[in-house]
Amino acid sequence: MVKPVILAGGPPKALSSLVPPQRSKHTLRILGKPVLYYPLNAVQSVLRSDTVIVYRYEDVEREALKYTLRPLQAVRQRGEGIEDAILTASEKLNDTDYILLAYGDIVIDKIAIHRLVETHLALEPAATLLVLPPDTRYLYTYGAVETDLDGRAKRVVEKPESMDILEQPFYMLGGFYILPTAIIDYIEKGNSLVDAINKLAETGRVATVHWNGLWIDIGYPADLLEAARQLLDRERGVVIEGKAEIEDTAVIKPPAVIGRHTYIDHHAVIKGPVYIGENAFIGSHSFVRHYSDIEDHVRVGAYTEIKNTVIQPHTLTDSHVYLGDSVIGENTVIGSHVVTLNVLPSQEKPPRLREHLVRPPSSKAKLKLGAIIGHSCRIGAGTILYPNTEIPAGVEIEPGSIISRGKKSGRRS
Amino acid sequence: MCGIIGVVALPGRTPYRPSLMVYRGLLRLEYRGYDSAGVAAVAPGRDKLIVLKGKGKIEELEKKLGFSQIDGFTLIGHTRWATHGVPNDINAHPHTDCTGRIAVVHNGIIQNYRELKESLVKKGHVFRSDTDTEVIPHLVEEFYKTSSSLYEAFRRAISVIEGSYAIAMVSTIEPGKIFFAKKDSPLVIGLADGFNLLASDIPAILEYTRRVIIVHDGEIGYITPDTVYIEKLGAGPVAWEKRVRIVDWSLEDATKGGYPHFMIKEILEQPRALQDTFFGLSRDPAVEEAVKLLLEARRIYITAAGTSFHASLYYSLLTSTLAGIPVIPFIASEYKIYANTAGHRDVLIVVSQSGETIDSLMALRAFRERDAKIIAVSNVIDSAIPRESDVAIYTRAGPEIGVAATKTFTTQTLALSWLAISHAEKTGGLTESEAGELRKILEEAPRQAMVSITNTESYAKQLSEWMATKTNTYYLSRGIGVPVAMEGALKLKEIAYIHAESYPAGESKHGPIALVEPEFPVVFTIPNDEELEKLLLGNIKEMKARGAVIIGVAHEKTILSDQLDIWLKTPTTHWILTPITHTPPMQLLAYYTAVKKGYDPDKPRNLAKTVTVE
Repeated sequence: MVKPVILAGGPPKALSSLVPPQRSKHTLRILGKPVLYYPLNAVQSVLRSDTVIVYRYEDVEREALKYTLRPLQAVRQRGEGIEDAILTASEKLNDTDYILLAYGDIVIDKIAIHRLVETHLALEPAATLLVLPPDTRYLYTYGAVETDLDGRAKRVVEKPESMDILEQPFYMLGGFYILPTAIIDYIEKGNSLVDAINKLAETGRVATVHWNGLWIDIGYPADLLEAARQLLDRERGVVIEGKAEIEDTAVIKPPAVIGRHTYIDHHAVIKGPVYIGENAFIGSHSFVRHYSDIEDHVRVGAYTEIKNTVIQPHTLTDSHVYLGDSVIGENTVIGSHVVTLNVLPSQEKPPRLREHLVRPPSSKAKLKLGAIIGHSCRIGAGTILYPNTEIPAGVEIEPGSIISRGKKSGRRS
Repeated sequence: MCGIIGVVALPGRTPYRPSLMVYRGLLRLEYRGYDSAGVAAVAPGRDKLIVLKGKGKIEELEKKLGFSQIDGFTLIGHTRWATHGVPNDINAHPHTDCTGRIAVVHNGIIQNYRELKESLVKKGHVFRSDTDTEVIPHLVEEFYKTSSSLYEAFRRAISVIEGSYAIAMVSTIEPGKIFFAKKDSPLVIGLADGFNLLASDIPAILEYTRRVIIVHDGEIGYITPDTVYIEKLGAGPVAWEKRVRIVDWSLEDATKGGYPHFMIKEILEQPRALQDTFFGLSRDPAVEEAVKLLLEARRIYITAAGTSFHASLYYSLLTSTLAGIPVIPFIASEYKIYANTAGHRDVLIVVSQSGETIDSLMALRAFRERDAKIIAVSNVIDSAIPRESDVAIYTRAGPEIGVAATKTFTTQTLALSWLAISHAEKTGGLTESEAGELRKILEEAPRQAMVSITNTESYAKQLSEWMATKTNTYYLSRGIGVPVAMEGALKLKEIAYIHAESYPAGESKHGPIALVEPEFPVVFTIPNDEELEKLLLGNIKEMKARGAVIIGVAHEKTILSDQLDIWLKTPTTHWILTPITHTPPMQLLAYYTAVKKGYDPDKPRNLAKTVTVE
């Protein structure tokens, strides 16, 4: 039997300004669902046994219960690292030979998990790892697997400093592993998970499963944009859920999803792919453009333009706001005439940001990223936010401020 | 690789006639092999089994033999990809014992079959085929003489065979059972109401049941319509009830060997295909025979169509370079003009993946009529072209389902490089040690192909988003890189439906550059050869000057790196491996571009895998 263990106790790190206290990054929302939903659903659609979930804060347990397809065994994580998380889960693993260790912050397709499980059952290796073609956006913050010609793992390297230390060919670790429960004893003796996998790899019996479909590790703000983008790319047509109210002069171009009780005012233009959650409000003459993910209870004031931006629940913008390539935390208020600048200077390359390999001759910039605005902030009217500015949680910014990275003006609390 | 399937049912309890279920299962298993197929059935009221089998594709055989029309409730089927013995009606599975009462299908290799066969022949068993598999029914027949049950005889037979196998066996002695054994080849059991199934993979049976048991290595047993018995060889019965899994994914999710398309599966399989081809070549006496013909030749021609022509062109350039001997390459459909020049001291090399390409076959016959000697290079054992040739060299790429050739191109270039080196060694173009060195480099091909794939896949996927918006491209190179560029262009054309033109880069200024405008994609294949790289610099610059976007498929240390807008980085290795290292990134680019545009890369419009009409 293979029993899933979802690890959802990790700290928010680079996402900390977006995650309220006593909450986890795993419950940040993408297209109306917590991040956790995606790996949980993928794993549970393949494996029927009880699912162990390791969490730090109750929000994870609460959300997991809401979306779980199978009985859930939730345990609060003791200690900090991944090894501690595995040891925390071990009390629930006496009844299984194998575990499917899954990171709770990876947006993934269930087909990847099918293939992982099928390969494991068919080949009967000591362990099976999901691997991806190396992508420099993720490789250094993640891990690499050196393999032989048939894809058997030879060595796992965690967070390689450079590609030079790796022996080619290698793949990238995918954050989903089927491992024998026996590795817990090995970890208990003070070895790391990577040591444990490498020990198994020495026997030549660690299989890998190639995956190059949907896979996004949510570790940085840009990952939320990427996840929204890729999930929205799967939408087709226009879905308007019950009791959504759309004024007859509003224009909606597919694909678009509009949630229950959401109101779209006159002359608003929604140009898909766009997601708008439940109980949201889109003001008159607003222009909501491609790859916008507007979560539940968000209010967008009149004459506001939003593009390639993720807005967490209960956030509000006044009128005449421009939000481009930005991520906004929950419960934040953005005053009128706030503008995010989003064209990055050429030397700036925020982590994980999607790169447009070929730039149109008319554009000087390869990369765009607007502002990362934390939860519970108040951005005063008329503020201009330079590209790649991060506003920590709970900050109030005076009206008319100009905020850039390193050079900040205006009052902040 | 082969595929097996079995159905054992109670009358009236299956959704379709059991033989139709077997036939449909075979169609789903076709990706595991399609050179021959067969079905054996226990027919009511008959002492002997019904065995229908033959060479050819399953659908053709169905028309000829009518697999789906067989009566009976215990059936096994097989679809084959020849490894031992050529694909023909006799070597097709199922294989039977002397009495026709026991039939076996097998996926895998029986390593000790020669010894077993010898001892069985001594005991009077009559073998009909050249296959390793046929020893199994005869062994069972032999052991049954001294066993209390057929199962015991089957178990004894399995315990003496060595190798890898997934085996299914039916017999009129115990009509309502399918016996099975598994080691290192996949096998699953499907549980249903009133019938049970087994197969090489889940998709083959998913239409009929979602309850499956994955059979483990070293397990043996049998299924009946309502029971399953599994035991671990030498360790007694297995409690399989706990191992039943409910498969709740759809057939659409599951097909194509676990990949979204066969094409990506086959691109990623190239390292393995190259490895198998390399080992095959290093032991194949046919290469030496071919070299002998080439040495005696007055003129050497090489012909093919499509992708195989690009491999042929590569061979022609390579032989000129290494052996200093001209080779005349021509497109097979243009054979008439070339055949007109051929005579009895000439040699024609015919390259065809399927070995059935009609244009190539016609060229072969035209040359044959003029007494030319023929060397075939093919991926399908004993297909028409190898059969009608004096010497046949085989690539061992395994079955290729995607219409766009991928692994067959890289393995063809490997085989042809091997031939060119062996030839050059004999003409004095290469010393023995130089030839040895180059062969060592060829041995690196599988690993270098894999490095090339892993290094570029993610980048090619990103690039495909832009490529998908384009309608015209150029694929350019010089020298040995030209056929590789041509192959890259063909991939983009045939599956992504983007016009891609390929020509030697020096030709740009003689016309084609007139079409280049800002953002026009130009893909340069840049071999690891400084002289060529220097020549290509000018060609890149003239394109850049007109606003073209330069995509370079180039090794990590290329002197042209600062000229490239997009760099698909291949490993730094000898230029002779250019087709092996530089083609996969272009295959990946074409694949992801097709997917991005919403096309099915496995089934390009207007194209067939094997072209059998002129």
